[in-house]
Amino acid sequence: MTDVRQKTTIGNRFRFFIRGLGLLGGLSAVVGLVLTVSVYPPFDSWTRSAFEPAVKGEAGTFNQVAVCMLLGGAALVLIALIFEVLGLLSQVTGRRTAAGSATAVQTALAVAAFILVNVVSFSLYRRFDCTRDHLFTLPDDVVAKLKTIDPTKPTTVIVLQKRITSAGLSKSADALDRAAERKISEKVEDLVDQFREFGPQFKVTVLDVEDEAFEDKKDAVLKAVENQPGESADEGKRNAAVLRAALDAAPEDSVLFYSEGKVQRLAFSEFYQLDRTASTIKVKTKIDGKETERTKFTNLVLLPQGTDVFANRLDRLDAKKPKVGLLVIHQVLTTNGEGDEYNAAGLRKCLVANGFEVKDIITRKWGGTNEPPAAVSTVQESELDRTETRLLYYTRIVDRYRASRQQALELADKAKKAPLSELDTIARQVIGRGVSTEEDRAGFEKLMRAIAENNADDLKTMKEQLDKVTPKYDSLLKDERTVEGRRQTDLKAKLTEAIADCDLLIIPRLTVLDAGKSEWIPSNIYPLFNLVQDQAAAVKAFVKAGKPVMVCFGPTSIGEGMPTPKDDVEKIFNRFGITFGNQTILSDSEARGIAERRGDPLSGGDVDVPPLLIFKPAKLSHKEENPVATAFETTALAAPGGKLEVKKSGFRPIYARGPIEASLPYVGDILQLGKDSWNETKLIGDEDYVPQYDPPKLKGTDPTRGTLDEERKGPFTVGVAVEGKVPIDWLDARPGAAAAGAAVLACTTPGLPLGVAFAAAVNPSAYTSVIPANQRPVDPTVRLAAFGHGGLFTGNTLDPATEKLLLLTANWQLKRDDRLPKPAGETKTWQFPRVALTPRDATLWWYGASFLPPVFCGVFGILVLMMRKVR
Amino acid sequence: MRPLRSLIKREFTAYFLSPIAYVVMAVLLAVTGLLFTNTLDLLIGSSTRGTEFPMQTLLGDEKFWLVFLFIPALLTMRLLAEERGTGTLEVLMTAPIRDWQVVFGKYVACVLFFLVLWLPTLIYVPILTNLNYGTWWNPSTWSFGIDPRPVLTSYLGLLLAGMMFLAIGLFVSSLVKNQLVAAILALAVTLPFVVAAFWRPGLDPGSLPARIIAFVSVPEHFRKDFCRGVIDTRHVVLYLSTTVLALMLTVRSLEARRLR
Repeated sequence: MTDVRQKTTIGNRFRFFIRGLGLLGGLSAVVGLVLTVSVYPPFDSWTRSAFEPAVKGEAGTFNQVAVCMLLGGAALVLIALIFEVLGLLSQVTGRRTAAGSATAVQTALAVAAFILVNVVSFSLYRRFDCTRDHLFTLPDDVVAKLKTIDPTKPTTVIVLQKRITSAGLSKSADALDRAAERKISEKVEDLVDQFREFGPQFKVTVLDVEDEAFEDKKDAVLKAVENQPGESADEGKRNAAVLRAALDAAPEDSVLFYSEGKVQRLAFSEFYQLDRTASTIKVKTKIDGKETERTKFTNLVLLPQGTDVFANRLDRLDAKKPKVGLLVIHQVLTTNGEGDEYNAAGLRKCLVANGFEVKDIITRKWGGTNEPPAAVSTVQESELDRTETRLLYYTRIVDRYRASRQQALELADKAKKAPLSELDTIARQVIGRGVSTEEDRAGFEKLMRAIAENNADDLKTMKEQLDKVTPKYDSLLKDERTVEGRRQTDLKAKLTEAIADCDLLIIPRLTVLDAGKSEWIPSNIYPLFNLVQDQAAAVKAFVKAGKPVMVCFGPTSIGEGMPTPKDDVEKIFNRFGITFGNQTILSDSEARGIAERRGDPLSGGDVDVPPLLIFKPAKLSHKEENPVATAFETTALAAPGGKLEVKKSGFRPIYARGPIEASLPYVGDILQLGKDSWNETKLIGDEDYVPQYDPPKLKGTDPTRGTLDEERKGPFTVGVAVEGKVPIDWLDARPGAAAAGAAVLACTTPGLPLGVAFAAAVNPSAYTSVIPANQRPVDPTVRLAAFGHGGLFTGNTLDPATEKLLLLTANWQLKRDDRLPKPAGETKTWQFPRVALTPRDATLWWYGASFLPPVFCGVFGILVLMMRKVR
Repeated sequence: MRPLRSLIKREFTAYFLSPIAYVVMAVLLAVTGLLFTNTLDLLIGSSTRGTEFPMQTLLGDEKFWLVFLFIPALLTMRLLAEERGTGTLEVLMTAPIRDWQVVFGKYVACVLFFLVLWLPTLIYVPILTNLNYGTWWNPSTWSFGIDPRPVLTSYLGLLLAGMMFLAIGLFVSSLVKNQLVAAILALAVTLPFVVAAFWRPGLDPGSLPARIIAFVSVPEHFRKDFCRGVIDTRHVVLYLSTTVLALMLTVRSLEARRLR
């Protein structure tokens, strides 16, 4: 047998030494790797700044050993590899020849060129999108926008899978929701990859709540934010808290963009909207002989909302959060109000989760026995008022109990010593009966001591209350703004200041909570909902500045009393062609509920009311659907059955008429109640009247006949949204200037419809063009919305449909149209491609493609081999 | 050029006389057939499942790449190692043909056979593109329900990746005498290009380590780019430069043998 061992030359010994060293180095590196991973999670923390102190032993012995073993081992492996490569080269190129050297150089150059080419290609590359629809090419406007983003500003993109699609439109996520979630996640990651081409600043993390390591990953992201270079420790902590809050508040699957303490959220549904209706079909099946209808998924259909929504969020990372001001008459009705029914906590939750800020403003001062006067208070001011009232009450009552106790103790002492005749007189005054014997004396003394004892207990309880209220009051007094604010009595100035930082005002008037259950506010309260002139003037100035207002005015014709007069806020809306009907819209079920409630006040009236319907313009009308209605309808596609149902009982009708509405390309009406409803003209709170539809008499002198107030059957609009220019006479106070201009325009514009021309003369708001350009004031456009129910957005939680209505309306009013879902007509639907095959063809393809080619190949191979053997 | 042509012809024909080629072809078609049936199920199904890019379902699957890894190793193991083992390489070296022509001839034959391996998979194309034709012989009447371009880019990617793996296999084959050792070594060398994709630590895709992993990971190139109709110059450069380097090293290896 040949001896294969090598001779022990110096070269062989050196090679043995180097290889041994390399192997030991490799072993050391692997052990070091395991140890290092345990203290420095790969790879973000593997930096020079982390390893240097470890090598020096400043981070502890364990870290020192781990890092030294890793780095030392890696160095030994590298040295061994260099020698091996040199050896390989000499083997490849041949030894001891003149040509060998030249070949070695050529080979080394080729390897170097290979490395260089790939290093260059790694950083300088192009991606050619060969797809038919250019699926992986960003639109030019998005590219332009991305180029404006500072490439040095690190941006964290978090794909947060909360396993809730479309903010809970479905009660529980089904296969379709899951499929949509997977696909949208994929699309988000693709898009981020494309964005990354424009700068390396995007750091992407996927957080899935169903991942066991979710909390760890979340902590790692927050830690990275906290330790962001260039920021102080406090800033880091604050920023991490901001991101944590945003992660926790996200109500559904979302993409969060974070940079320098600012967060923007994009719901998956805002990027790709699930079209549940188009993804399913209804099929009829027989179960136990009964025919039932069930929903069957046929495909996954999504409505892409465009890459610009994604880019816009990045672009507007620094944008201020829009602030919504809520004007209510009592603290209970605020977003921080107590109780379940009357507060607006649900409104706050919904708005805050979607990137808004909310501010409460209270328009009445409560506490006295008289009618609460108009006021403007923040929640803190109102809280100070309430606390002050409580403090006064407890102080008074404590004094009273103390005096009462003192008196009882004194009488008890007197009962011991005073003569019976004197005691008799006192007892007759105090307890109404005399004291004639020593036994009576003892009884009287005992009674007085018992009263003193009782008073002591009550006193203790009240003192405890007082002790609670006093520090709260003291702390409220420390807030100078609150105290100062309370002193300010100029309502207009104060409200103007209070709403100055708001971008949208919401003014609810909760007159009716649920008509079917006969839950309404006493009618004598209604006038308190009205804003006084100074307050309304502040609201007018708000609108004049082009800022939007949303009102939710419930019906006011409920109970006996003087009719509530219109306030100036209503008049502001009237100027934009929005008028509020005076009746309550009822359906048969609500009327039945009212009747039942009278018979059974505890449990009657629990009836199902019809849902609101989307207002559809007439087929022959040249107008389009209202954008809020379209957005709501598109959002509904993701809900089961393609329906989002807003159900409330006790609406008032609202009408959008006039030149502003006429000049819009869309209708002002958003939502309506169906044909079965009617506008009840009588007071529904009248105990002697059961609401029912009374068709107007053909004969008689009904003054409402032919007017909007005439009792009739539906449909009735209960929600409107219009956009119009601020009336010119609000901006240009010169008497008659605007009206004259408008009249001229109305008469001279050819083709202007007669009705519009007439309206123009009456309402000059939209005709600024006739005023000379140099005198023309800036006339901002404003978006106003009105709903006919004061409790539409009331309660501790809002149902998903109501939340969507609120958000869509608010976003539209704030001119954030890019946040409204694009309907199917405006976007190319995405769905999985399908191939239509008959069952026979499908079977043929299935078996033909999987079995036949390999079988053919095998048979052919065997034939060839057989032929070879034969030959 | 005649000797080169003869060499190519000889090597190409030799594949059809070798049982290993039929085994490789049968296994490849069985695997692609299985993946095609999965794709077909997604395309004709009526549920929330589906495939946006059918080629991705076919070639983006890990199973496919684990099988694919063996093909170049098996096709190239005998090219030079067998000649070295049997001593016919010396005969070839004395023939009036240059070293690069030997390497090039064997390589071209190998690549041609690799193409032949894939030819039967073209029968899937009508389904993968949802081809509707008025008259089958007139392409102007054809219409595609599914974008056909990802199919073209996928086959282009397969050709380029195949060329790279075959060149590496040829180089390894030039270094050893034993076919089995050549196959195992070729597998070991090409393994990182495939398994890098299976190792998915929770890295930020934009970080350097993740980008390096993605740079060398061939299945990822197909899953994210070629199968979706995207051609990324990084992948093309990697495949071509590795091919050229491996072929050059093979030529040098033969030259070194001559010089030794």
